[in-house]
Amino acid sequence: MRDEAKPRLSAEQVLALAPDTSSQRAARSLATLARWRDAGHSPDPPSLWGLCEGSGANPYQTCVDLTEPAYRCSCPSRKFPCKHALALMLLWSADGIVTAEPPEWVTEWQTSRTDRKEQAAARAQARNESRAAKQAEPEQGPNKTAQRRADRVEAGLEELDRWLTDQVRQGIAGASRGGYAHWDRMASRLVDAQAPALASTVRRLASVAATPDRLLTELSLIRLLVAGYRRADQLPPDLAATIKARIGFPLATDAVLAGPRVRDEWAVVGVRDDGDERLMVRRFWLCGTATNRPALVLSFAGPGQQLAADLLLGTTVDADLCFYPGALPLRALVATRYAPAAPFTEPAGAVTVARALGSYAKALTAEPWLDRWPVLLADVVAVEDTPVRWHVLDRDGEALPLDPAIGPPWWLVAAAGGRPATVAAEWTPAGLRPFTAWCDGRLVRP
Amino acid sequence: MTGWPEMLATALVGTDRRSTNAAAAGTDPAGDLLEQAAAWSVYRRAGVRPVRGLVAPEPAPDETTTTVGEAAAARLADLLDATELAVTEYRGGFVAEWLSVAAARNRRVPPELLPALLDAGRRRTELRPMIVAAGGLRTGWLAVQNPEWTYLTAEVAESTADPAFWHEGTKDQRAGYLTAARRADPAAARDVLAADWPTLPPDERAQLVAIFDTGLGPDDEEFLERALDDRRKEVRDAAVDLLAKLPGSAFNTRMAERARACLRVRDGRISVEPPAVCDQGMRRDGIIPKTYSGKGERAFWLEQILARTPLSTLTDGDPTAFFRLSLEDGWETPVLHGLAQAAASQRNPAWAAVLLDVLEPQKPSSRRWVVENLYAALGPDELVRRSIAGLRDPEAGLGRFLERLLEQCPAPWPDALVAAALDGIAVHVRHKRMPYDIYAVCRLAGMRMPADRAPEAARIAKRFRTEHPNHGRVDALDQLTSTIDFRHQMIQEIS
Repeated sequence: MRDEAKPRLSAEQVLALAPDTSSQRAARSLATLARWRDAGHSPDPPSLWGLCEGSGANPYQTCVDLTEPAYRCSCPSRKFPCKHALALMLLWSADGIVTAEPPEWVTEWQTSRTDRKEQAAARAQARNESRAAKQAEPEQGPNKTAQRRADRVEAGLEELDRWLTDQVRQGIAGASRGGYAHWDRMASRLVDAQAPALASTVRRLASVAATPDRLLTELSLIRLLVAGYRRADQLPPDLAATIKARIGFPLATDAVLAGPRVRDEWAVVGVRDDGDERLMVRRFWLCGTATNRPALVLSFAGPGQQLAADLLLGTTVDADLCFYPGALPLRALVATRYAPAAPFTEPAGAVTVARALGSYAKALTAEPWLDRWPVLLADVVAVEDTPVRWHVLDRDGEALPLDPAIGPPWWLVAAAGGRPATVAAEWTPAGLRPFTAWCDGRLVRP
Repeated sequence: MTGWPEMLATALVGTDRRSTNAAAAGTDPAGDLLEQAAAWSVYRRAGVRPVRGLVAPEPAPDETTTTVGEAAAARLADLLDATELAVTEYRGGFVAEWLSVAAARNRRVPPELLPALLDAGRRRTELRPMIVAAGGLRTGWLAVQNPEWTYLTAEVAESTADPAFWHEGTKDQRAGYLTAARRADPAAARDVLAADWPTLPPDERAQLVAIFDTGLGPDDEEFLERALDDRRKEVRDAAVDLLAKLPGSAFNTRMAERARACLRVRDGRISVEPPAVCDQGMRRDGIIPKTYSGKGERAFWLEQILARTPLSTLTDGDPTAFFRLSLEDGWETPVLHGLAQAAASQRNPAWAAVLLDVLEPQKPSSRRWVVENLYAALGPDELVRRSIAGLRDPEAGLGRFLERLLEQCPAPWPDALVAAALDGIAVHVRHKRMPYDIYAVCRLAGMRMPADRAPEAARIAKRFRTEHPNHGRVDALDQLTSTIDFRHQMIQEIS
């Protein structure tokens, strides 16, 4: 694939890369050729560069590698990417940059980047080899640590199991009376037992405590997880991996990256931020153009950290993904990119409501704990049947309820104007949560 | 295997109290129940059926204009971003200008920004006509679907006429429903409110009764008179405001009578005789009996009576004739302040102009808000004339009032006003002589002068910076130039 054939990113997509809104504003005001000298664009490797007059004596040297994308600028800003890199991309987005031969300072940077990448790849290779060698030798230190963790988890699950049956023995009707503390106590025990994922599942029970139907469902599924872990050695390895992940056994990034790779043109169909001030989570929902396979890429940020913005909503990226092992591999890491992201007008593979529910049912047979499933719905309209109860309705007259917790979907109603639209959403037991829609070929989001 | 409802019933009370028939001796009933419930849970999640029987809404009408380009859309989205509340006042002005330029150029707001815009219009009423002008046909289509946005639409669509919004909706939804209902049929809407009046929370009663401003008519008088006996002060105040707007209402007649009793004209003189007591009737009509200090109560009552007196009943409505009469000594302040409040709330430009001529020079003794509210009652030409005078003449003594006066002037400022402001600023920054707040004037000039005067403003700023590089007030000019640059850029990108 040659990248000249690919459409450029839109201004909005470029601005989505900005670390904050003041950078966006600053970049927009710099995105005029009058502020730049010797700006150029080269398709191989896909890159941009230019000189921008700043407050210093010398102009800033700015260059962008469009594949990752990666940035370099001689300005003193600690923001990343800086306003100069963003402005350069905005200019390119508006077709304002001519194709040219990269100057020396650009090629130097590119060469050093390639070298670093090769060195990193070599290091990763070496790590994998040493890990393989370690695994071949039995009874080493790491295994002892692992055994200690397994023992702790074992004990924690023992306690959780007793707690679960106690809830049902005493009756769940009064469960909401204990408030958050009731769930937090058990959750903290699980944190101590090194089962962090399970701990947050238990903590989240507080939100369904007032709905006995949902509460019994969640309690029983947690119990199923406990039971599954105890028989993990008799289960297929993929299912055992799912169970371990849901309990919270960590899996090193390197180990995931060492696994099999799936190359496709991955369409980024949704981005959703969650979490609290302690830890923000950004979910990128991807869909393989050729494989039609869903994937979930996560980015985490603690206080003062920035969430990754390297996957752009509404673009496809030609890349290798490595999926975390499991009965239904969904979470993935981007291993290698082969070309810069390219925008698409509408995602392929949207289906009816019935087909979407069918895909969820099928996924549940592999992964009974699955409580977020990406769906791409074709030609749906948002309908408020009674005040504040919303659905999306497809051409077959079949509808899915929206999760009431997300509020009325006015953004979708306004953008679609009552006409059918393609909608990307998460299907959850509480209802559908739309995160992107395509109306008249325009991408909109809440 | 036990069915889900039965299992749920057991789980609710607990297996200790309710045995399941599945529990065999020697097993753990709670554990068994959870095990079965897990199987059921997966089965129920996998078996969710689509909802049927819903009807798609009528789609929005086709638009006749095109949406603005990407840059203009991004700027509007930025301006509407509610997360940066600090500069809301500023942004409101930019949004208003964005909308009016777009409408004039036959361009439309991208539909996905309409919800944020309609929300902004709830608080900022001055944006409403511009939202309609620049929002396209989808605005009306969308607004009728959400009772919080029905302020925008004259027609009552079926969805908002749904009484469910009245009976089960939120406070804002009820208010929206009532507004729409008042537009369609004021009498029917009054009956709806009257029927639920006793059961509504007091603070909501005040909000709802104020909505009677929409479609206000003589038929509302009886209801509003009754509201004067409400236990909540906010409700009574709202009713007073509305009754004062009804010409010939019994309320207005009562106030005019009280005013006549207070101000007696004899031989070209006005003798003042405020009420001796604040009686039950006065209190019912909203007169506050106690002053904050506990002193000067009679003057306080007099001021309040005059503030609600129809000005048409004083000297046949002629302010000049009124001020030709000489006023009894000692009562000037309550009389002037009372009349000023009446002129402001009745939007009477003739009385406002005459009162300003009297009150403006008396700066220290005039209550600021009383004077400032008068500006809103003036016509645009009079506002501009007074502003220019204030900017040009250091002796005019407008001082702190100038900012409020300029705020009321129509935007964009006419050339004569721009010239006066720029000259005033130039003199001010050089000689520090103008007796007004240079920052306020620069801020308003940046917002209100035609954006194509940006180069001129930049020239003044540059010259000043060269001549006085270390002047303390150079940042006021910077603010002016950056504001006007922003607008200039914003206006150019709307295409």
